Amino acid sequence: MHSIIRKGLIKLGKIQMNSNDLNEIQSSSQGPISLNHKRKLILTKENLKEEFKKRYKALLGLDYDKFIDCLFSKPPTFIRINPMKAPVKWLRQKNWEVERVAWYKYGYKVIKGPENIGNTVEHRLGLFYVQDAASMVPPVALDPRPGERVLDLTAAPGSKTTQMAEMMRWKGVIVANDISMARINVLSSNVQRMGSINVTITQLDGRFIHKIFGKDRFDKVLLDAPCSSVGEVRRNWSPLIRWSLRLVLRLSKLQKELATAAFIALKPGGKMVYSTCTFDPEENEEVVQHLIELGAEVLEMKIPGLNARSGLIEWNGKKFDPSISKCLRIYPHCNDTLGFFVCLLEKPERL
Amino acid sequence: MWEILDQKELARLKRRLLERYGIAEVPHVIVRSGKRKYRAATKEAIEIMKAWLVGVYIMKETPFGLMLSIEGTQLLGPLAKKNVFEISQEMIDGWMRGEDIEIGARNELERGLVIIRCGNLYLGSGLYDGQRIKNLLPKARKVVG
Repeated sequence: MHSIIRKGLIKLGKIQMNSNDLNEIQSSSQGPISLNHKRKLILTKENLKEEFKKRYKALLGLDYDKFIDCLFSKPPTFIRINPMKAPVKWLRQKNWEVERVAWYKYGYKVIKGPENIGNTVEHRLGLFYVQDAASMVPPVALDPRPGERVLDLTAAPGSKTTQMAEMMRWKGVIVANDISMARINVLSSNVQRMGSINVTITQLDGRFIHKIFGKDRFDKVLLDAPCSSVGEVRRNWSPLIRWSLRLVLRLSKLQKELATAAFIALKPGGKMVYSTCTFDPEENEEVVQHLIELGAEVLEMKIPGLNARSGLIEWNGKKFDPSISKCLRIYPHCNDTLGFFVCLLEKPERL
Repeated sequence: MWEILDQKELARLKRRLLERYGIAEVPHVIVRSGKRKYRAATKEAIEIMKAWLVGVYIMKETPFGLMLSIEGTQLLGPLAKKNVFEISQEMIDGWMRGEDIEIGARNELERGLVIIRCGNLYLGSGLYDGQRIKNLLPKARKVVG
């Protein structure tokens, strides 16, 4: 194959780079290639970090190969229709081939559609949002209703915020918080495009949100926590390069702090969803266990048509509360989506 | 940042919307953001303290009058009784690419800012000069190519 075509295909992610390609790039480039860039270019199923392989083999058992094969495949495109801006019928008039997502009535898998779906009239007008089907699950589990007061603690870039705003028929309020101004800019432009008038954006450190808004303030809380993002690998390889046990443990500490603040801000009788886009138990079941110790109760979720595994009740010799088995581990290969962990909790009235 | 409008300012704003677009009632809470922009929000949304931003930007003051944003036309357009220009399905792509619309002299339109729509789809604002409608879509919302 001609080297220019080959380079182009590598850039597009259509083919894997081999060591000859790397040598060629190194010899022709002006300066040295960064270690991260090199790793990204030569990342294959075989040369993943040993620690990662060992851990994920223990987590997935016989499904490990399916999981890894799926991580290295391109994910399908999903969109979420904005029913507040236009009725869904516009989608039927387009010449796109779509299939409805089983668990969210406004979610669609685009089987055949425009090459750059973001550069279409309907996208620019906010008639739809490009959002993976697994990422539609946390709002579906939380089920926010019109008129409620909802907190989205780590909201950027706003896919779940705007989905919840639409589920609430733009009534009530969602406090969409994020700590980073750069991420808030993305969040605010998505809120604008989707027309979510019931969203209020705050820039606060989520770990102290209860100190600002007070105890028992929200009917519902979504905490889609910052995580090691292994479930996002199909879309972006960098989490696989960054992944380490040290990172997982550091994030687990932050997630527990965020979860504590979110739980305090939740009204007694209120519901909370804790979700991440990763599978390490320290970032998932261990955080839910922490919430149970604070008094939370794990609830069963009814998500129609979703294939998911149960939450773990034991990991590395550590035993978790049996109710954690009600959590969902949505592995990418189970539904041909990205990966997620989702847990629905309730703050009992007595707290 | 943003601030709540006092009754006098709000009444003045509503009068201008009525005069230009025939919008008799605004079903949302309107707040000012910066010097010239206005945002629509829910009553509950503006009660949140420490809010950096509320709701969505719907209109701004321009030398030609109150210009509605895309979301502004989508929220308020269905309530407008005048200065709304209907384009055909075939013209949507050109408009969204940023093209102006040649329409010649029209009795139903006043010179100045107008709302563009195609059926139930509201597509932002344009500036009518008696011959054509100048496209006022922001760059970030135009379709490229």
